[in-house]
Amino acid sequence: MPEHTVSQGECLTSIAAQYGFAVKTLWNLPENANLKLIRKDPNVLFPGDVVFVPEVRLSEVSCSADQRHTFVKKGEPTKLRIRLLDDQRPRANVSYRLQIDGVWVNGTTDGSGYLEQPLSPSAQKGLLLVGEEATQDVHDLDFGYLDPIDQDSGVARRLHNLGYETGDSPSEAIRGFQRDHGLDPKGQIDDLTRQKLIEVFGQ
Amino acid sequence: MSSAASAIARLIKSSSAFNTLALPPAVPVFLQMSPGFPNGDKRGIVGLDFQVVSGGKVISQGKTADDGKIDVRVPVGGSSTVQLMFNGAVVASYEVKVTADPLAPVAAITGQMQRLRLLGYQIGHLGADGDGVDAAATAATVPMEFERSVLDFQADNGSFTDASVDANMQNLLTTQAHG
Amino acid sequence: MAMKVTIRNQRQIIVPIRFTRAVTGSPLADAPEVDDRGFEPGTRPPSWGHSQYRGAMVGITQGDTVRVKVLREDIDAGAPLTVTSTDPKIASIEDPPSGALLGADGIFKIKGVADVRNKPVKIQVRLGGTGGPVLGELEPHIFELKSLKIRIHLVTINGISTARTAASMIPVVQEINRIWRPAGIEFDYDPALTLQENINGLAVAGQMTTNLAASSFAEFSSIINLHPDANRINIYCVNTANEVFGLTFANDVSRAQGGYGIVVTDSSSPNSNAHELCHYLDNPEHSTENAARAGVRQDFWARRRLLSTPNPYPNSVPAFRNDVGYGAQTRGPQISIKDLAGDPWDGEEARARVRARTPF
Repeated sequence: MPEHTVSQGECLTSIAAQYGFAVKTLWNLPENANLKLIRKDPNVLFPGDVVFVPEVRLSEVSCSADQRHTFVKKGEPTKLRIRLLDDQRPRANVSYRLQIDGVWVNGTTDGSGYLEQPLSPSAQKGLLLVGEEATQDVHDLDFGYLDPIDQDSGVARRLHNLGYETGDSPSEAIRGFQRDHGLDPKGQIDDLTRQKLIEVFGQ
Repeated sequence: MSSAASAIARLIKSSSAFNTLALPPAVPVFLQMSPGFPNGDKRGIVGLDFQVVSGGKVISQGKTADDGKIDVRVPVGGSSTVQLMFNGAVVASYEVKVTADPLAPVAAITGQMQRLRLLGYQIGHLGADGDGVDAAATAATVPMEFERSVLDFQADNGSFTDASVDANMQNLLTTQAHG
Repeated sequence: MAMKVTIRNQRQIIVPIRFTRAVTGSPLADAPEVDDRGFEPGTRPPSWGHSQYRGAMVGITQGDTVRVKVLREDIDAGAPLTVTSTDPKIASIEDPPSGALLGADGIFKIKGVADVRNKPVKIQVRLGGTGGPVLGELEPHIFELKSLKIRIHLVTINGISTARTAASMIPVVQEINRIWRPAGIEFDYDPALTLQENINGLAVAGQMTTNLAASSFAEFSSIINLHPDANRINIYCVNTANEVFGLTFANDVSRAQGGYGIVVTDSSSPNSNAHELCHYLDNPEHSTENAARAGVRQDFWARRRLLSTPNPYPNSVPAFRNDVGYGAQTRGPQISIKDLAGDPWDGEEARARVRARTPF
């Protein structure tokens, strides 16, 4: 069976869309059972992961030539769902503008600071502007770049989103996160911290 | 690794997951004409145009009011740059980091340097952080700027100006630095 | 180069600039000391202008132009700065010309246009240009010049004379006047009026002998009663003294002890003589003393003051105390302007100017 090697920015949703499959179809393939076991979340894959993709089956449909026919692609509605916090407090009912691959949408976060927008599986870059004109916060978004939690980059990306920067001195960032969330501030990643990261980050 | 952009996962519609984007706390930085928190007077530098840049991107901008305050968001473990502007050009900048480490004891010279620096006293730029706080300083090796700041602090607080950081001055330092 | 800031305890104040004397080295009439002691204005005579500001002060004789330096303490070395005056009719900026930026040395020139009485003024350092935000303020105090006549007496004690002459006192008085310029006071010396004095019967030939610890000043009183000029400040030059470089009676109590006067020795410096004149003009205590008059202060502010004692002072630690801008172990000439709550003996300029109305 042909393979697709995951590169940064890809997830099962984007790969499935690329090849014309439903996400569930790929995820439930026996050939991908190992991947499913390790990664658990189809949308958090790691560059280098191998996804088995079946040959495309030609589906034959007979239709008369002189009529118009409609074919509906069984698509997977994809979304993004973002929770906005300001220093751990939800940014409830704030207005935002979101640009996805060049197209702008407006919205307002809900009472718990969440925003949800549909997202094309192939969308790559986003720009999120939050708040009123005078004091806008700017978030530059990379879709599909979230790595698994057991990878350093998965930890780093989640910390970055939460306002902790690993960069030059990762222990400072990790210690800050641990301190802020009731963990022993050892400054090193452990399973308890990973769990908490998933819980706070949301995935 | 650090990238300025934030990773967001694509989610299938039925997913209950979410991705959080949290702003680090804003820390107030006051640009003032004289040190110390105001005591019934105004010390702020008014009308200063500024930008705050983090990860190569402008994350906020504005103009200071009477108190000279700039709310700076600095990612924990990272840095932001506060840029002062004039006629649209950057004319000065400050690389800002935040530490969550507690202040050193005020009885130690390092602790005194930290508190004087926090209060805006001009203690010089020696030391690992480039801001005058020198963990290795002793009474014999402190620079002139440190003694000058101790004297300035004593003068500003009506204490006898002898450059000796006695118990009274240590209490004043602790109170004014909020710790 | 950006300044590095590490925020501790979740708060931070930054004060970009401060003011200081334009140069180091000997006293110069156009490069006065700056009273940069802290940022509180302190108490000062009601007749002086009171601008609402916090920062340093500088004294200027009316009509003079002086240099002062801005230090970029906590701002980029390359940050563009300029200087403006809130009232050019009181104090004007002579350099840099309006709109121009300060050079890398940060030195600017202020002209004292109008006397200080009832006239508030501030010099403001601005970022970028004359319309830019104010980063710091300096308060100049401009004084109409008071000219005080002095008479020099050259004293021979038991046959041994002072080595000083009427002519040799000319450069001494010139240096004294450079030191006193920021207070708007000058000493008017006419060499032709110098008197030769003879006194015999003192303990040691050529020497004024005193016992300060026992408050024994008999020889001093004798010397200062040698033909004092009722309309001048009288300075008596002797060859040596056993305890001092100079001695002065400076307050009204001394009238009962035999009058006002100053005695200086041959080995005393012009700075030392200027120091005695500061005592004479109603400033009896030393900057190095605490409120109980114990000489405990070793810090460099105390040593920068004209009323520091002794001169030369011993080396101290840390090493930067050993040269306060005037040479190794050399006392500064600063006549303090501010009268701060935390300094028991400052505010000399105001007292000197009051005493200068009736100095004899």
